[in-house]
Amino acid sequence: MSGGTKTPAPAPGFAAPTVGETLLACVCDLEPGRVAALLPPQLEAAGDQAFIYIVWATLNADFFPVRGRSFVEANIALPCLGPRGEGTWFARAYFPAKDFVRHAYLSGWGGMEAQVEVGRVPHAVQRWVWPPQHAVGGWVARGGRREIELAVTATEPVELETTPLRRFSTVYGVRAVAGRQDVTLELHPEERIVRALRGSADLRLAGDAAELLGPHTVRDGYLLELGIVLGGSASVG
Amino acid sequence: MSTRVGQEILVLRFEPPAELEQLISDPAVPRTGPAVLLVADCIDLDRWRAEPLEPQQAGWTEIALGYHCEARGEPATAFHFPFLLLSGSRGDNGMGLADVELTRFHAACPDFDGPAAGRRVEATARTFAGAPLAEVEATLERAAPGELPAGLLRWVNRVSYPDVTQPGALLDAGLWLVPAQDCEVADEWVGRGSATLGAAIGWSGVVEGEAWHYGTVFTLDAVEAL
Repeated sequence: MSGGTKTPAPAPGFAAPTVGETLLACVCDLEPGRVAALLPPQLEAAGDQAFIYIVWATLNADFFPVRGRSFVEANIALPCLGPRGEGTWFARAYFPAKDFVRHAYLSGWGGMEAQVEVGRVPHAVQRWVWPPQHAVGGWVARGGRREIELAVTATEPVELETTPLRRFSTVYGVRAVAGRQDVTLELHPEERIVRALRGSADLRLAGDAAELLGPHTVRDGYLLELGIVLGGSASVG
Repeated sequence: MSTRVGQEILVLRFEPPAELEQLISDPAVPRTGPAVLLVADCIDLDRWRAEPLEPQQAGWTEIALGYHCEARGEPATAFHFPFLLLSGSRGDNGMGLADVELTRFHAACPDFDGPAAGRRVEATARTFAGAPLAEVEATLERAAPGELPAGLLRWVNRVSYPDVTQPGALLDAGLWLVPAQDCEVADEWVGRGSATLGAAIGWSGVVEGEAWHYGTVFTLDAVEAL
């Protein structure tokens, strides 16, 4: 058979894709013991809190098709102790694209297909309106029903190390795939926090998200911007 | 009602082949300069501020194929139905609909420091049924502050609606002048680019020309009937 065209693989030494992310985040206090009950047995609770994120992100990678370079996601992250110390585990990882949901499943997170909307501002417009001095928000809906609505008003610069989100980018997974049960860790060879602002959050949960977290008290809201060199994932335990 | 709008824009200016010119031109609005293919990532800043929990209503993308013209003696750009296509939130304004995506940048990317010489900008547009409208690519060459061609932020639109009572017929709402008011422009870059236009736009082929990439905020207020 002839006439086919082999798709060229990335050349050796090809630069790893980078991603820029903007997170709207809030911290919630949960009932004592709730996090421990939700975490997989391989991870230990590191507090009775949950972190809610709604994210827009852009892969700076010319070899990706244009439609694949921008994405949104939302997460319910739980603080935990894993094989590499303090981190988080995504009890829910919401994506509007099936391939990302599959990635979440393969990473050992609670992947869910959902509609995710967030108040993204085009890069070239940000010089006039960013960072925002008002609430910026987004929502997550499944089956047409909004399960998370989050609006964050964050204007006070904050040292992330002093906040509950200090290890937000250390993300563990616990997978049970092809007979293998292990703990994964997303790798970021380079990571930089470009902006961290703290303020207030307005959070409304419904449906599965509300049932998952149970009674909760909303604490601070955050707006985070970060850049990451993607390094894939590793099995760490 | 006045609206403050922000846009990140990629424009390709090119000499149109005769068939394409005939397709997109309106006899009432003569062409006075290059054809213009515009792709934009847009936000209604007033709505974004006022309704943080309804962000899907504040953002949209658009693609438009038109040409330089004059309106009331000043340079303008003509984009007529059905060659002005929006992704939805304003799609009831006598315009077409399209699924448009373009290179989005993120300042936090470790190796991204804004527009730069050699940086590629791309866009892709299709109908919601999946038929290709355009694939656009451009390479930025140099910063060009203050050099944006006149008329790119002053638009003439023939607004029409498909008539559901007569398939193929249009309800013509006439010609409108839409000026961007209190306009600010920044990060103007110029380079070269090309576009592959697909069958869904009514003409298939490749065009090449001068590419502009820039950001702008402006107020949409009064529109004037021409």
